[in-house]
Amino acid sequence: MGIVTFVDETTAGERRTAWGLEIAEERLTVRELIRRRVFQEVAEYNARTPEVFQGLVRPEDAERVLNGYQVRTPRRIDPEAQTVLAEKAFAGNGFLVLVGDRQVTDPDEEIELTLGTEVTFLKLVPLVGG
Amino acid sequence: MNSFRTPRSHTDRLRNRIADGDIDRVADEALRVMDSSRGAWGAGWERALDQLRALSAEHRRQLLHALADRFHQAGDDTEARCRHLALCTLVAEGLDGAERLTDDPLAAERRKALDDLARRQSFWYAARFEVLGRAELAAGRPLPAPVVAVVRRAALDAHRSDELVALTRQLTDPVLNVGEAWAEQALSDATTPDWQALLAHALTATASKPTAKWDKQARALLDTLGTDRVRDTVLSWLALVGRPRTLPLERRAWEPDINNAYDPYNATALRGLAWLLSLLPPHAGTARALGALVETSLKKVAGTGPRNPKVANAAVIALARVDSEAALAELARLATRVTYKNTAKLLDTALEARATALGLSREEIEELAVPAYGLTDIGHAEHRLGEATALLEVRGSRTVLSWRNAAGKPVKAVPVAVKRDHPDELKDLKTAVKDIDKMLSAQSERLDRQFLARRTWPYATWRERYLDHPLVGTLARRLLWTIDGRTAGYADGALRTLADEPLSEGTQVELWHPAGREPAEIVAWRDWLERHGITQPFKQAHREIYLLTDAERATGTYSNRFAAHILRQHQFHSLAAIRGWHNKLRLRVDDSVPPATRELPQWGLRAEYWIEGDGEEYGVDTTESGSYLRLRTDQVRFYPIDAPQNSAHCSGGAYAMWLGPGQAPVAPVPLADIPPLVLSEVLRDVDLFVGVASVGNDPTWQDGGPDGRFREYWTSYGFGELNASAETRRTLLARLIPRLAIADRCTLEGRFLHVRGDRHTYKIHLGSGNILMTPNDQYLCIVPKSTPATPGTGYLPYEGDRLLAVILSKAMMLAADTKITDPSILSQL
Repeated sequence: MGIVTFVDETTAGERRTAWGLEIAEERLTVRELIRRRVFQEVAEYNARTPEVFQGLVRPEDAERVLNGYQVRTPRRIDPEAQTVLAEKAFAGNGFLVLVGDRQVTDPDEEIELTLGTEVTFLKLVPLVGG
Repeated sequence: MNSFRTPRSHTDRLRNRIADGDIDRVADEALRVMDSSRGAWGAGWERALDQLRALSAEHRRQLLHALADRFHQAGDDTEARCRHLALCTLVAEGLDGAERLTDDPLAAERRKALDDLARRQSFWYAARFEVLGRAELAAGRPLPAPVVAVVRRAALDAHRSDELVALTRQLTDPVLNVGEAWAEQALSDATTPDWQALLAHALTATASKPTAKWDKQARALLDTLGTDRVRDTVLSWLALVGRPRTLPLERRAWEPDINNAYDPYNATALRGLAWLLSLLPPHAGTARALGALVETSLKKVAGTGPRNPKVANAAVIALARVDSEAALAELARLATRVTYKNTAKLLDTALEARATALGLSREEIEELAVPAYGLTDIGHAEHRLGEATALLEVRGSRTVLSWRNAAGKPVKAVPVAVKRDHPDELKDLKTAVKDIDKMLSAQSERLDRQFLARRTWPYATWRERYLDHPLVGTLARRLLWTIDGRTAGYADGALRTLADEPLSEGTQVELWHPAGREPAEIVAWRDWLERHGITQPFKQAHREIYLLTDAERATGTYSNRFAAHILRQHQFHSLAAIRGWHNKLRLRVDDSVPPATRELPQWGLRAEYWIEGDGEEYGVDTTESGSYLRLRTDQVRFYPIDAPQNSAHCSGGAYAMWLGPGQAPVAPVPLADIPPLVLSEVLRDVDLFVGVASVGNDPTWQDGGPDGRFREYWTSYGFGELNASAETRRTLLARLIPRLAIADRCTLEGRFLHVRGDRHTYKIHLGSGNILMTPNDQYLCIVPKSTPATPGTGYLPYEGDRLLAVILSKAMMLAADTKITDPSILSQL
């Protein structure tokens, strides 16, 4: 039983409040790690259904607002659907995952989760030609 | 079209036609008079009308029909039709009543024209359209509610038209104007005479402050209706203020955005209701609603500016009259948020008055005004609701509500028993969450402004109001402080120095600022914060520092560091207001205005940023209302705070001091004499204005904007020297890049991040995010997608540096440039 710390690194050198997630396994694929995080976030959101969802990826049918995503009609978010979205975003460089001090790119790569491993999510911006 | 004639020549011609006795030609001439006068029956034009009215009853009847026959000439413009109808009515008025009823040839058209008129915001009193309403009433038909509304709105600016005002006096039903969500709700709730009387009384709030007499009558009404009932009902109305109009109005070409403004007639009632609330026993909900009313009423609307300062001010006055902690807290919160000068002044006065009454300083009252919202220790509270426990917790800048069941185990959702047995407490908790969030951001802004306030606190006071305050403590414990000259932060349950030694005593406390500190010390504190996992509420340890440069020592009294930029004026204007600067929008008019200024009373100084409007062409370089779209920037200067005001013409030209009789010009203060902290903070503001509002940030301006005028500026901005925030960005990238998968393809060199792709090597500028390709430095245009169709990634919680994310995203993309599929990018490679 280890606690993995999730940090959302932001771009101002500040880091968002880290939060821990209990992970029973010692080895886990990156894909599973993302899934756990998404499930945790969605569960917390569904428990409270606030107006704004502050998770990793934008739920379908939600608008981006200053501090998260405004879900148009208050509803439960489906964690499975969110996981699919998150995997898509990961594959398309929507966000980067750093485990300790190394970026992982292959979703099926297994990572060692020693006690106090810090997983950083770095969020990127979608681009188009102009 | 008529040639230009005076009313007198028209009168003469009309007299001749009447003498000829040809009523058809009289009708034609009368319509010409009407067109010439634009339907303004005032001044000399009345004489023409008098001639028509002096005709015999028989002739007038003939004239009426002749005019009615010509109604098609009015076309389909509402105003023209109303004018024609008004002329008919004016001619017919005073004819024998009974006959008029049978002889009202355009009655149906009149009703339709009035309905059309009701979709307007207002009409001009001199057009005498009130006669149409009068004719309807004379015919025994009450006016439809929307028509009543437009007549009342028109009468508000028509103090010279007694008839119009007299007509509105007859229109008592409905008591409020229809067309706004809150008023419709109020009208449907106010079913009894007492409630009607309450609304009518609210409409008498025409002064800027309630009189004793007004209060007395209001109290009598409250006694009859019951204070709790009034409070609940009125708060439910106020919650609807600012909703989109239920009856949209037609916006004319020159009108402001009337559909987002308040109905000016109902606004008076809102003012009355705000006053009324201040007579009720203090209540947190009241304070909240009044605070919200201030903010809703100051929302800016195109062409108007703040929606309705009158209502905002009334809500402030109401808050100031309520003697409760909640009202004071609301005033203090608004004082950090409101930038509209007039209302800000009122807030200031209210807080000053409160401070004087308690024998405290203005700053102290703002500190004391922060409520704990039921938090028992720092950012934390527990409430037992039956078997379950609710946990309120401040995490960073937001508040989280979580639950434990009877067994003490955390549960995800609100327990059913709580929903069933404690709905009110649950609602209060959810409101508390919102209140705390709002207050946290207000306090964070207030603290950010303390750097220049020169505050020192006695240690005990500071502990009570900052470090150990249940709400402010969540911010204060994430900042660095100087205690008797030693810097300390809060970690592991105590104040600690850089070496983590606890500091438990002290006498004087100040807020720490990196200006004038050794770079090594600043870096050490940054590491200390990172080591303890502390996220600062705003940049303090990472704050950009602006030190005096050699160029500025050479220029002596002014800084050219931020000169010759092109800024988007409206964005600059609102940013400046948020940062506590005073600025006036530059319009393309013949007028002089002062520069953007920031007053620094604690330092006896006034900072000025010299700006001027850019461009010549109305509609290209200005908005529809004539305010410049862009500004050119010039020097930053400092003057003694009481120096006479500088001003320059809106469209440019030199700034000059405006001297009153017997005043001597005052020289600017040499930059070397400005305390480093002040210089740094002022220049940081200016850098922020330029960094955010510069047109150089807009990648679509590669062509140089209108006529390519700004091409050179755009290029120099996009690829020039780094400003302080870009330097911060560079430091961060240096820390981040080695951890990335693409680390071996990236190098930081000077102003650029170099990324080695397979097709080219790219240089991404750290100040603008713009890209140049090797070998020939060709510009590559890639921009953030405005509406990502792909799953959107998360937001960036810190208020700042989206550009870093953009640079990283570009680097990730270009490092794998063989995988790019977007044709609009491929075509450029």
